[in-house]
Amino acid sequence: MDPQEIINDLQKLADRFDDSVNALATEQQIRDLQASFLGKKGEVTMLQKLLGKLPGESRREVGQAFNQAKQRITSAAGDAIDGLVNREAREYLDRHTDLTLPGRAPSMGRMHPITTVMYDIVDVFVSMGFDVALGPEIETDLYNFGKLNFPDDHPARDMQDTLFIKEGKTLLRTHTSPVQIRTMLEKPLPIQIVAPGAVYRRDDDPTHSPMFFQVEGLLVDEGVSFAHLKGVLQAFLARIFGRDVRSRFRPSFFPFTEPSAEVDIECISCKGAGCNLCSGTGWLEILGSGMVDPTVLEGVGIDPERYTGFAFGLGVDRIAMLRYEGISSIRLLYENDPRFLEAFRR
Amino acid sequence: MLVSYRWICEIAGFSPKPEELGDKLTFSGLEVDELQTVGVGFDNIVVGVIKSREPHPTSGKLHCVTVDSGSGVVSVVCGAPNCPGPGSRVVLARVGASVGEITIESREIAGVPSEGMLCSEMELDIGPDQEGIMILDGETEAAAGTPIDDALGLQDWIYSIGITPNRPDALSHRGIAREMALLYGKPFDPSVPEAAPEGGDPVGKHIKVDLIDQEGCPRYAAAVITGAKVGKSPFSLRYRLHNLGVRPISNLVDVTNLILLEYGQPLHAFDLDRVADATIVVRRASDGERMKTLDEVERTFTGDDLLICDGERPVAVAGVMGGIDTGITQETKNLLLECAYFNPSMIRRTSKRLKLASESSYRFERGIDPNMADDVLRSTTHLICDLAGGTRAPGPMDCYPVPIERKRVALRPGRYESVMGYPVEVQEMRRILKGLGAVVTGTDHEFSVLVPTNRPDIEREIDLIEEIARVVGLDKIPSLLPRIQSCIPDREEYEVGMRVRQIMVSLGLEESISYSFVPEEMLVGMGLSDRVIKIANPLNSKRETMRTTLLAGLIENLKRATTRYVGLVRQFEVGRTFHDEGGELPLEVLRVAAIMNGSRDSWIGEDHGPVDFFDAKGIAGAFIREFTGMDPVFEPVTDLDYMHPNRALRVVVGGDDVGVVGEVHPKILADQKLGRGAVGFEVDAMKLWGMRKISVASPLHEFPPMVRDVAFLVEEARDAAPIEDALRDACGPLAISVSLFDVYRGKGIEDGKKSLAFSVVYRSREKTLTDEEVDTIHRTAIDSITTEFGVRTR
Repeated sequence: MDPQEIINDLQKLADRFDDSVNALATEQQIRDLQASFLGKKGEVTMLQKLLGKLPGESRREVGQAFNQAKQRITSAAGDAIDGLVNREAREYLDRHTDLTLPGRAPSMGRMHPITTVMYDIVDVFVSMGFDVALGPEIETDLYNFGKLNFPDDHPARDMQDTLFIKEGKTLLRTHTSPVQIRTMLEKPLPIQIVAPGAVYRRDDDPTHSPMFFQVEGLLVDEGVSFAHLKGVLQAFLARIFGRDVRSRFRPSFFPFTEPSAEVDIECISCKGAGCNLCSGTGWLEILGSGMVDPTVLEGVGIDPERYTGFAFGLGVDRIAMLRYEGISSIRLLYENDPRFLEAFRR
Repeated sequence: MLVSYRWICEIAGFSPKPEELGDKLTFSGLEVDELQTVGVGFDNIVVGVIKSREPHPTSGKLHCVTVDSGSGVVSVVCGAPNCPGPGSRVVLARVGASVGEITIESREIAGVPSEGMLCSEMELDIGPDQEGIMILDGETEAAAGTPIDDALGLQDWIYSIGITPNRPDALSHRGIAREMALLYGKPFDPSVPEAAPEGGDPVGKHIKVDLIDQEGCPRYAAAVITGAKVGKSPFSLRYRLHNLGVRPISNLVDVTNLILLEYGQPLHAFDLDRVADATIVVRRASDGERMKTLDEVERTFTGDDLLICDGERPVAVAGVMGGIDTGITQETKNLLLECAYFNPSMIRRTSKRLKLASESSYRFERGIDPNMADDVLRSTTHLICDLAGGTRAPGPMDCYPVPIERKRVALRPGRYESVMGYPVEVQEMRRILKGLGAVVTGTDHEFSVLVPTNRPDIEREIDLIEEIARVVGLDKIPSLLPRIQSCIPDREEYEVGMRVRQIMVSLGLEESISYSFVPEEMLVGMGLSDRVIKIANPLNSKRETMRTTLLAGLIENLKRATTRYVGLVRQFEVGRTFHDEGGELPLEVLRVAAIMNGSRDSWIGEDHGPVDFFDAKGIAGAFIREFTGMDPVFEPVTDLDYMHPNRALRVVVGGDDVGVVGEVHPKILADQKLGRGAVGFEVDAMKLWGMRKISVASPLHEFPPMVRDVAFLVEEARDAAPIEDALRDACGPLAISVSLFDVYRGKGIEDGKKSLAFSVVYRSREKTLTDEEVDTIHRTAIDSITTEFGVRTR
């Protein structure tokens, strides 16, 4: 056989591979085609079997031609496969998607605004070194009133309209203050606690809910003075309402503190100019406070000559209503309408 | 309490600016809630003098008058029955004046032109009288045209002051005036009232007082006036009462009310001629004794109530309200004035028991000054005789067996500094205490303070410290941060609550906070009314019972949402439930519960269907695993009234029953007018917290997994979990996961059967497993299941 003829045949085979391979649509087809040329029974392989019969001097030349043809086919197959992948990639990239459709949002849980605000309040005091105490929501008359220096048959009892379980014996606590008593009876001095929790009064109108939330605070130690009460509360107000918040202390009366003070902040809505939120006064009443009454300390076995303390209580609902906008009635907080609960972010 | 600025200025003898005084009062502890200007806005309303009066030509009820308006004579048509004749002074609203809602214009009334209006008190909002127009004869001599507010001295400022229970001294104009003088550093030296004219028999001839109950009534003083004439009080007095919220009635009654407001001493006026046997007896009631009070209500008393009686019967509930039979009437001529001091606690108990509160009981129960009777009676009798005529029967009538003395209280100025955190000069402290009416002796290291009897609240050193602090002003006190002792945190329940919330929120539920009280019928319907705590005085029947389950509140939320057309609720609540365990206080249990209804999350064109039992089970399980690190076991439960009998399971963790998961019973939902399909759970949070395990990270597998699937054909009624558990055991330790991935019924499966398909993952920590090893284990496991359960593979 003429070596040149073999070389020409190889040339034609390679050309034919080139022509066919680019029409193929899948990688498998390309590999199959490649096998039909270069495989065990492939056309190139069959031709190669003739190589041995060629004279020695032309064998080298034809051998080189075989290598070139195999390389051409292999590389053409490779290029074709690459081209195929690129085409798919291009098509994938070119495909149109309606991006104006809404996203898939997983349903999201949220804490109740009261919880969020309560947590923030407690966190301020915990950061200052206070611990957290809780107490029962159904209390004895003794802890809710008696030990807090509300004498029987005293008009001070009218300050809090009470829901009784057994009149004169057990009741729904009207404030978180009984936690003060429980803590002072149980814990060693010094005492520094805040007590968040639900409290109850016999009131129900747009500005009063029969259940609401308070945070109580108590610090009892040697050398505690009213100046410390002011310092702690002003630090608290700055954390909750911003560094620039202005506050004022007004003398008031609570049976279990003396001297007692109510604390106002400058109205956050009108900055003191007077608006509906502050009833035109420019100030918002935010908490009650005072020095723990010596009678209360004596009642729990603490020597009021040696120890003094301060206590305060604030309404979580009130602060929530100041922090968030649009809570038109305190009762909305306890209706748990999903549309309402969704409105609050931290 | 309402306080007249002009009146307290009259008493104190000086007049600061009304707003400034209001602020000072607020910052000394008498909180001014509101300051209202009254008696202004009377433009074009003047004193008019009637020049002529003619009947109206056509209407018999009207008069045509001419009135000197000060700037010319005007014609006015007047419809008042008391329209006076020439020379009388009236109130003329000229054209252009605003009277209430109307603006006065020139117009014809029944055909006669009218250029103004003659006004009544009511129309000007300066009194309640609407019987006729105001006639000023005797009230003012001001010339025609004088603005009415000038002529009658109408302008005043009314403070509304919230008086705290510790300040009975401030429940009077004299008390506020004293405070005002103290705050401005002025001496308080109010005028001493003039004496009334005396005449007739001595008081002892008119009345005998038998003070039997000295505990209830430490002091009973009285005065008698004879020959008085009941009439209308002058305008100035009525106007003052009107501004202070008291309805003027007659001169005798108005004076006692005025004295109450001035001194804070409640008085009671009896018609002396109606007091039987000219005798007053002060004694306890006998149980069941009855009397009709001034408000025409028949009252029944107990042995704890104090009564004022005459020779025959009760005539007043001491300190609370008089009886109807002996009160002042239009015919009263001779009157007995009671000026007593009653035991505050007793008055309070009676007032509470009778549910009857009055200005009088309000002051007695807070404690009035027992030592002002002489001044009060002198002032009262003088004023009555001045306005109604008559004379005071001479001589004292005062039963005061054990006079109440001033208390002596020690004050260490150094203690003031240690409590308040800043010093006040000793001289300033003395000044303030004297301004309160106290007498201060002793040394600069320890004062001895004799406290006036109008301050029953001042009994201890701390009370004096408070007085000084409030007068000096709390704004003077510096702010200091205390040195706070470190402590070992002890706040488990608080932290548990927060942890529960974090997990439930991350599971996509919103937190609810609902009322702790629920309708009892709801708990009864749920079968959870056992050992329930009831409120003795609930606001209403919907809020009478303390919840024994958080699900009650959540179901109420569901109902509220549904009635508001909100279809989707996914809420949880963390809170206490209350259970009567026989102790003084009930058991309070911290629980967590959730409720869900409506569709699952889906996207456009997708529908994942409504939530069902398995959503609740999934969330309950996820919560418990995350919260405790333990796998819950779900066990059958059938005895629950509030859950679907075939779609509820008991939740068991570590062998302990911790709660329930299920579909809410359709009957419970129907009771709330809700459709079917709400699911939820409730578990005991503290119990679960006590079981939690420390989280342990296992070494991660390094060798590849081998996955084998198997499906079993089983009877429809057979549950999957026992097969899964058995398969897990049978597959041995190399099977690191056995899970059900398909339940199939339908084509290729005979009726009444289903196919349960499980996927088993084999994985070794030592080596790469071979097909042969895994196939052997897997085949043996399958054989044991088909044998044990009598099922075949598919």
